[in-house]
Amino acid sequence: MSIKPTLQKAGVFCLWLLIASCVNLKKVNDYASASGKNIKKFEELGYSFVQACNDKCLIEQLDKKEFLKKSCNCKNENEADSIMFLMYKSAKGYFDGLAKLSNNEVTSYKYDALTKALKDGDFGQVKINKDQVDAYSKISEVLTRAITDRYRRKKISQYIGEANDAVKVLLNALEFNLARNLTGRLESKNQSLQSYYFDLFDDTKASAYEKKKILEDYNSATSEINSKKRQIITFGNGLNTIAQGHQKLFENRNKLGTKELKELLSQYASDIQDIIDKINKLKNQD
Amino acid sequence: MPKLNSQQLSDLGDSFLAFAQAVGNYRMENSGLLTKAQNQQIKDFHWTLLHYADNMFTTSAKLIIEDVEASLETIRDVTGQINQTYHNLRKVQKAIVVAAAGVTLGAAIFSKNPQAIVDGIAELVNSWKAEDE
Repeated sequence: MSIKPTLQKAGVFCLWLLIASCVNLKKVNDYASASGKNIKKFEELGYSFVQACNDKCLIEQLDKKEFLKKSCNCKNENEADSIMFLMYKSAKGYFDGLAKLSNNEVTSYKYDALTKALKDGDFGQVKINKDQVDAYSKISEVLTRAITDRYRRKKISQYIGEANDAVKVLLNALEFNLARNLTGRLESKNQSLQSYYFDLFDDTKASAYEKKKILEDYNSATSEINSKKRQIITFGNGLNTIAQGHQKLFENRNKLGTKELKELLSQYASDIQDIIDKINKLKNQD
Repeated sequence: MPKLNSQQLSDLGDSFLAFAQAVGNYRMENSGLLTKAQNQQIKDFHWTLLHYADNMFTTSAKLIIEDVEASLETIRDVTGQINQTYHNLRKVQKAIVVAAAGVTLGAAIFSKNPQAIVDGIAELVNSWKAEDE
């Protein structure tokens, strides 16, 4: 009896299984990968509470014209940074894990070693046809993948359900600390610098050339502060977009393959990528 | 008096910042009218207000831990489960490689070739010992 029709039927069945399983997670993977990439930009923000504390000490030192630096106590700022870092690491770890698990490569098992063993093996009485080995190997690959993909999808939907509230709380808190509290510190620095440069400029002993230099320095310092603020706020917007995307994933976690969700996730992944590009552009303007 | 939360402290920080800005602006706009001592005193007020605002922002950033503690715990737990599932799925590949080594060893035994049997055993042992991806 020829095994060809059986193999063909099995092939069609496997193809259907494959299409029904792994393709669905591609958009989840795109969204999770883009989110992880965006969250990692936290490390490139280049400003922290400790930095704000050191800047403040330096401005005070300059204002009082003290050559020797007095001790600068940044203990509270250090604790604030540690808390932000903890939130960052936690969010990043989750999205990296989600990206790894939703990557179709996880269940792309290679049967090459088994195929080679069967082809090369001398089995005495038993004769195995090369085409049969290839066909069975391919079917095994697809079947294993389909079964493990079903398991994977079920698990991902479970994890999204368990993590959704916590992910939103965490991302909102990180955004709040950056966009409200850290930019608040930057605004405070802006005012201190304005006050300091004003006194230098207002000094009747300063020459016209010195006043020009003072103005240039002041403008450069405020530009830098404004650029940092824009970077932080843009990064915060990215966190909000990630949280909204996760909410959509949560609402559709039991139907991860629907066209609407795929389109939505594509949009979120693209929006997040735009924000990454914007942060890069702002950084280059520094 | 109830303790202020993170959001309230940050809002207060914004208010102090706005207040400080008004004091700073007043000093700059009226510097010609102020005596040196008055100028210094208003400047000191300005910087003290900024110092308060700084403390409020920093304390707010620290207090947020009270809002996120439970969420951090949940995320840590779910991330651990995700990584465990990932490693379990990668172990399937190891099982395939080990099975292939078993088949090779079986074929070597059938062939009654001593060298092939030795090589087959070595391959099986190596594939078993191989680290998970």
